[in-house]
Amino acid sequence: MAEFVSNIRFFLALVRMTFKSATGQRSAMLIRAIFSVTTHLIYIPVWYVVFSVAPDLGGWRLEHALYAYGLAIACWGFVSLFAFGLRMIPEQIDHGELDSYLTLPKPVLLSAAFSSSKNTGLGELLFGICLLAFCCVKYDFSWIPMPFFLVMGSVVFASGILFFATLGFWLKQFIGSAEEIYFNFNLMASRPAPIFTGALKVVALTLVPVSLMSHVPIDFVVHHHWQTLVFAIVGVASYSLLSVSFFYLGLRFYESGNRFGIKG
Amino acid sequence: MKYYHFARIAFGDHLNNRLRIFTRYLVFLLLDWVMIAMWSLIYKSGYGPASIYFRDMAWYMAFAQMMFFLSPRLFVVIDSDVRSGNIGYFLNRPIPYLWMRFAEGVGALAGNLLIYYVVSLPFIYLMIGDWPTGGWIAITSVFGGLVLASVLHLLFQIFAGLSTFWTNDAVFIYHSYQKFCLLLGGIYVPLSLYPSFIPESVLKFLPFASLVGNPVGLLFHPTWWGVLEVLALQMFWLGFVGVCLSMFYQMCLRKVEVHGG
Repeated sequence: MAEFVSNIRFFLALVRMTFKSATGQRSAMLIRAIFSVTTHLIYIPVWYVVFSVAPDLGGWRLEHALYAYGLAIACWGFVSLFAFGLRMIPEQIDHGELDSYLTLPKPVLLSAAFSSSKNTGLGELLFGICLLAFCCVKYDFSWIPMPFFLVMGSVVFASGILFFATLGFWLKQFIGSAEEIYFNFNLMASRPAPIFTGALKVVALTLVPVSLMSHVPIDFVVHHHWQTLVFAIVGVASYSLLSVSFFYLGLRFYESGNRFGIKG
Repeated sequence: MKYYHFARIAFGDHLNNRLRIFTRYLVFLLLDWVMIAMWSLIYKSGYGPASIYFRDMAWYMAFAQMMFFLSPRLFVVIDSDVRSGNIGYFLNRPIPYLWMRFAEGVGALAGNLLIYYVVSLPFIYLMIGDWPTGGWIAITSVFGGLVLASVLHLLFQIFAGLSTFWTNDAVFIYHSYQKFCLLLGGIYVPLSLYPSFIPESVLKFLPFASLVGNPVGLLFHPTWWGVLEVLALQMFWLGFVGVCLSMFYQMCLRKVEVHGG
């Protein structure tokens, strides 16, 4: 119990330090925040165009697409702002930068994940929250579960990033591929849930669990299916556990020195 | 000749990185699968446009996604060169940095064309279960259009990469450009189905349509006149963006000379 409490303290200290460092360059942060809000605003008419062709996709309408997009962007922003280190794990492995984390107080994952921040994250997080709030006001969605879904979605997304980033322990120069996977993971979370059927649904619930990130929350907001939500929470916990275990498996491989490389 | 050698080396280097090619290809197939499933649902819900058969729409979606995967992620390389200061070493060489990176991009693009064009046809056929109504003529004209579209995409990527001189991060500039492509390029919905307040007659003259909507739209009506029109527009945008890029590069050089790397 004492170890858990000290880990939480360590986590909060890291988050505070990372956030302080990210907000240090205020003007750069503001410019990027404005730019990222503009960028994401451009994407909204894309869904207007899609839903002007098909106003109802298996019960999924424009408001659901907007809510899913808001969640996906807010989660992307949350992870970029507070845990950007997760995204950089493959690069840190390639450059041998994880060595320095091994000498820091454990757990290594906390240091690696929460030690850097990307300041576009603030704009993305705010934009996502504003879009969710817009959906709550305009389409009468409940406000209450919104913070919970934000946390749940961010945990799923962070776990997904960690899972794929961990492959970098075995695969060299994986950062480019990993970035591609993160981006498309997030993009898929804003796709309408009814299109994920059959094998695609299995993928969306297991390997790339975008359904846990956006589809289940929207199902709850619309239909209040408690049972689905409980299953989703169990799914999120299992996926997170799997990702963390996978990371430590990779870290053991890294620590053993088997990932031999020459720098020149 | 020296550009040819840069392209040749990049071609070999790109094909050697099998892991990156494989993972990118998997992501491409997954996106294709999702987009085809979306349009399948639209047709099953009765909203499918009467003028376009489902199989043509599905092939359109697959090829539209392909455009983004054909070119290498050149903006990442340039972004890294600028941020690390390595660009300073390249500027001393007797070859313009801009066109050296472009030649490398074209080399890697050639490698991707080889893979995506050969491997994708059976995979997409398996997903859709039929060939497009225009047959091989349609597929060939789309393939031709996608080559020029990918070169244009490379030029835009170099723009995004060089923007690092001012923004210190090319990724968010590239994402903005990508969002414009999604909105105005006809990636999710063919240009002909856009609502009347964004008319196709205007959209098709924009560079974003020359990237995806125009060349891939040849699937629906593969006529000689249509092919010529698409190619002419692409050539215009290639020339225009190329000239603008040269001017932008000169601005970047001045910035390096005045402020250092």
